[in-house]
Amino acid sequence: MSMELPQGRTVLTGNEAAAVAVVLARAQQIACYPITPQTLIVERLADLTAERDDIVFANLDSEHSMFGYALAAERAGVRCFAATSSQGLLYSHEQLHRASRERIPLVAVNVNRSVVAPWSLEPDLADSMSERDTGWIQLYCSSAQELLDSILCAYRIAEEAMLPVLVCAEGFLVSHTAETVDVPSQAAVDSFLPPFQPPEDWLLDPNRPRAFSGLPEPNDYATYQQNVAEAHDLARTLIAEAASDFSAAFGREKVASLELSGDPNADTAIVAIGTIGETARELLTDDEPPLVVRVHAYRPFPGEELASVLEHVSHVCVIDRAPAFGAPGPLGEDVRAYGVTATDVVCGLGGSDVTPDTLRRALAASGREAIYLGVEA
Amino acid sequence: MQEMLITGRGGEGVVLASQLLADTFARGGFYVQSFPEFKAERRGAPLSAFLRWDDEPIRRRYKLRECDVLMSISPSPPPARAVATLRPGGLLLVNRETRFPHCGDWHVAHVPGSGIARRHGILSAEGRPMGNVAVLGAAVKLLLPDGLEFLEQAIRSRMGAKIAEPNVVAAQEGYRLCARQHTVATDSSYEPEPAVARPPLPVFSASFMDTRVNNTGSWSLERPALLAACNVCGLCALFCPEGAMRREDGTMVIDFDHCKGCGICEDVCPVQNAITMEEVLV
Ligand code: SF4
Ligand code: SF4
Repeated sequence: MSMELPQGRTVLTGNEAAAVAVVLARAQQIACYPITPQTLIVERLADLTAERDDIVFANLDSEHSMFGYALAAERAGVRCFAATSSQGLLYSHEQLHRASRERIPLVAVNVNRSVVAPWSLEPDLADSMSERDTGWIQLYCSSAQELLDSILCAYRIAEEAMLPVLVCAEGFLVSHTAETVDVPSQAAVDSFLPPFQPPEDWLLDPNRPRAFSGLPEPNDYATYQQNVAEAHDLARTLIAEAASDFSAAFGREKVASLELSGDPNADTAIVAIGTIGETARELLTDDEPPLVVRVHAYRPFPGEELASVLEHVSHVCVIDRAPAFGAPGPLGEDVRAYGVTATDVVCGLGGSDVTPDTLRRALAASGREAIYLGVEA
Repeated sequence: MQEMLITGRGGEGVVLASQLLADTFARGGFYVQSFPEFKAERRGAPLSAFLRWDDEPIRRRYKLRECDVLMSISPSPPPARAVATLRPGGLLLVNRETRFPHCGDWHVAHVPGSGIARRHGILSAEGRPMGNVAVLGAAVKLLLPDGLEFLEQAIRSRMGAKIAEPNVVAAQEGYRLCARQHTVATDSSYEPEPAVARPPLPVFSASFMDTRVNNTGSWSLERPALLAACNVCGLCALFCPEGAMRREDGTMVIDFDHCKGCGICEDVCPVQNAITMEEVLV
């Protein structure tokens, strides 16, 4: 079934908004392998790209092949897209390392879903948090609108930094939630996002044959890794620039790395990521409202910025929606790495509900080790 | 902010109903949020969807625990645990002509959704009436009285032309035929279901139940019935994905505790008038 691109203010699920963004970004190769709760992205992309001979829609035989295919196509100078969830992302692990170290600016969506065991289709962030050290830029979205906007920004950031970007959003809470979304016009997107023009010495070109990623000397290998780290440092600025250009071009606020809500001089703060960062805003009407900090860009980690925001806060509570057994949760560990004293609370695993009450209980807790908050009856 | 819980069964169009209504409220100028509660997706299993609408953008991202409106798409009455979430003074909208047998501190309205669907030939693949859109007509009458036109637009934009037109008519009829129930002396008051204590979770993940008594037959909307012409060839038993058919003492025996009502047996049967699928009454 072919489908028209929606225009203006409409109602879309997160997955539909992602598919719309990919078409607006003029991705030309779409590499697919279905997995719940991401499947609707590729289904919608199939609808939106049917009967279009300028877009290749490729069904691959696994997530591992899907990433391999997309990485190779990018190398030929083609803007690509891929999407997955949970076990599919974990199965692609070695391709993820290759993507960043080969400096391939692929944009992929990970619809967050908890990992086995036991089996669950429901969201937590264990899948993408487990891939935080693979060198991808990671953006976490908390609404369909932010997912759409972030995919458009992601292509720009990826192609400027020559790094892959994983745009994450929690399954069901974002992917299957239908909500009000403003879809920008193709013309506006085209002027925000220039065509993909990778550096010539990076491109796969039959007239200029080269071997890529051969066996360099140890010192050279080390230098290539350092280059990836420097690209991440540069990406902090690129993320901020993309967000401010986006806000100016589309007339709606685009979060860069952090979103702050509430009183910056509050005595307590909640640091959260994804939809929990949205729900936390309900505490702003409490008697003693905390400062709410939602982390949007998780890699590169906005540590310096976060440390300066939290400098005068006496009680910092970090909410992790992913476990890191035997150590604080991933976000908690990162916040502490920048010298912030914080309590780390792990909750919302496997889609267990996180309400304002859950967060009030989290705020009341304190300790050095990660605290696994029991689920309310 | 208004919050709504929509209940029904897999295959009745619960999720579509919540999205159509979200679209309707959005066209009426509201910010909306609609999401399904996902269990393993399967036809016939009870499922629900949530809808929120407000003048302001909606930031909260958790499941509904209470609701202002409970809407039941199924022709059967809404489950007690769903009714228990209705806030005092809330609205319960049911898809049936008969009185909702209980009363409580909420309003009840009904609409003959399934009847309307049957009249206009709006049927599922199995031939059951799809009353979801007719119920939406009633919901719009009660919640957004000037919004019928928005619902019609939502239907036309989300359904193919062929099915959109009868559904627009069903929505209009649902809007018209929706009636509020007035309490009468014989109404019993609503008693919430007592909570069932659960055994403590074991350390390792394993089912509480012996899987041999996992009666998947409860999912069925339909079940096979053998007819006179069955010659007991046993072909259906070979194809049944649940192993729910067997030949015994010269007849075919069906294990309804495990038959999930897929209809494969009927499909593969080479004999005329040997087997048919019948509706399971819920
Ligand atoms: S129902 Fe049909 S296939 Fe099954 S035993 Fe009877 S004749 Fe054979
Ligand atoms: S309906 Fe399906 S599960 Fe039931 S007996 Fe027939 S083939 Fe088996």
